[in-house]
Amino acid sequence: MKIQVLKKGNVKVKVMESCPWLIECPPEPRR
Amino acid sequence: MQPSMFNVRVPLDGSGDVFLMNTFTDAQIVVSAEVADLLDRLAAPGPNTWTSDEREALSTLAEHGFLVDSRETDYRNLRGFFHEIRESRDELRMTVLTTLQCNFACDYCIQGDHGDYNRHAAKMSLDTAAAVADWAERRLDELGAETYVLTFFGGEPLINLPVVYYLAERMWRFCESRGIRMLVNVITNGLLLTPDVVDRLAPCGLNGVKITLDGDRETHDRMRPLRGGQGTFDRIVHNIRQVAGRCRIAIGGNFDVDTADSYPALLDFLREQEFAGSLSKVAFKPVIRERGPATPAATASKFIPLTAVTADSKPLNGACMTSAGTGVGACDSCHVVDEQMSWLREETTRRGFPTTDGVHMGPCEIHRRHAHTVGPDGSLYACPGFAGDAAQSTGHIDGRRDGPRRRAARRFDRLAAWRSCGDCAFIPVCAGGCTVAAHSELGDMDAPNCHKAALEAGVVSLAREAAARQLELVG
Repeated sequence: MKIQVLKKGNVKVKVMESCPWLIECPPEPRR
Repeated sequence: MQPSMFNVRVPLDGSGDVFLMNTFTDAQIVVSAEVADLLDRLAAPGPNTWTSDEREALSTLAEHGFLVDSRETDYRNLRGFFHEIRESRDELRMTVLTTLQCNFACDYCIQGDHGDYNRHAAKMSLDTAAAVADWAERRLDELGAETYVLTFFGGEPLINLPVVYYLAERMWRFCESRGIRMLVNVITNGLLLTPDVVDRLAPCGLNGVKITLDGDRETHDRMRPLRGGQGTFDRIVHNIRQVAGRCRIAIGGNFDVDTADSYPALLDFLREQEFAGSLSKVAFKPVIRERGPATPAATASKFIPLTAVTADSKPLNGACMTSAGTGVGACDSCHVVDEQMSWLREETTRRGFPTTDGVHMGPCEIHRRHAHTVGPDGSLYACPGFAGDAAQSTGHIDGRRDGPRRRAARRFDRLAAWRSCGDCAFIPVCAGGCTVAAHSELGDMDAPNCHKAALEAGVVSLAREAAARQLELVG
């Protein structure tokens, strides 16, 4: 029964440093 | 006990081993096939008897969050997780749009040096900047925050250097007096980035500068020219050389289906530069251009993040978004973008640059109550993607809370597109996707914006890296 732990489970709040989806320049929003 | 719904697994080639990740606890393990079978047996109906070895394995799996008491435990954990993010008072984050003016004339962006846009685009005054600082200081005192993150953005933020310097220096003095850790970020096109700018911001907690390059020289110059059509690539790279070593530099880029192929050449170019080793991150994101003659409706949202359009420029009305939680039925265009994102990530990693892993794509700042975008006039927004749209302003630094702002604040307060994502394993690292994309295309910011295929590809990449590390250990 092999279990090799690469990264331990650790529940803590993780929030992205910057927006991962949008492009850098903000979109012109719908008006 | 039962397997957590946040488990994802990838069989590893050759060995029979399986890569397991739990997106809630972020645990990552490699197990033999018999351990993976344990999870299947546990999920199957009917009683089980376990050997002592199996009990020990199950205990380890539970320790890292791969097993939970019930599905309700998973959902309770999830609700607690998002509540903690929303209410956390550890940090105050502010993205200040010093101006909506821009010195570039990117053809995929309505902002910028097109027509008379810059003549009318807002620019923050020093008086407003002073009021922004007053407001930020009050917020920091009220929250008792340990960290203050100030990001300058626009438009092109460095067009308004007096406001950049004023806010950075005043807030630095305030944070020092309160023992608050302060970080300053700048997201810039790089044209006005000089050693003087970096040296002036460095004593104020400059954390990093993010610069956009849209492909190799030829492609970038076509995508991000000046108003007269002159290229900007050489000048930006020159500026990066000048500031390299003085601050962390991240490279971003916006690709579409037509330009993605030019990115390997950009990566090769960056690899050859003396500053290659000092790049803190290289990560590219998709922008999907309209094709063909634009319809009036499409022109209104010419700049469409993560949103596919058909060949005749008709937005797909979120067809790709209806597949939330299922990973099936995604539109072909989105599928192509997901594949290109994965491919570019691998190309980036292969050249030794730090990049995003493609799995940890959220939750973003929009899920935090104490993260704000401040427009040039002092209006508050939940995210830069909504800035400029008065109907989406959630407040104002002067404290005004008219009806529309109150309603907008309530909308963003309730935001939880992930509630429509069923039992998708990626909810903790996606949170339902990009709210701006959902709003732009569906007109419904509460709808999920699903790119499950991209997340799955990210997990496969993580698994491959795990397998490679295993081989190194064996070797």
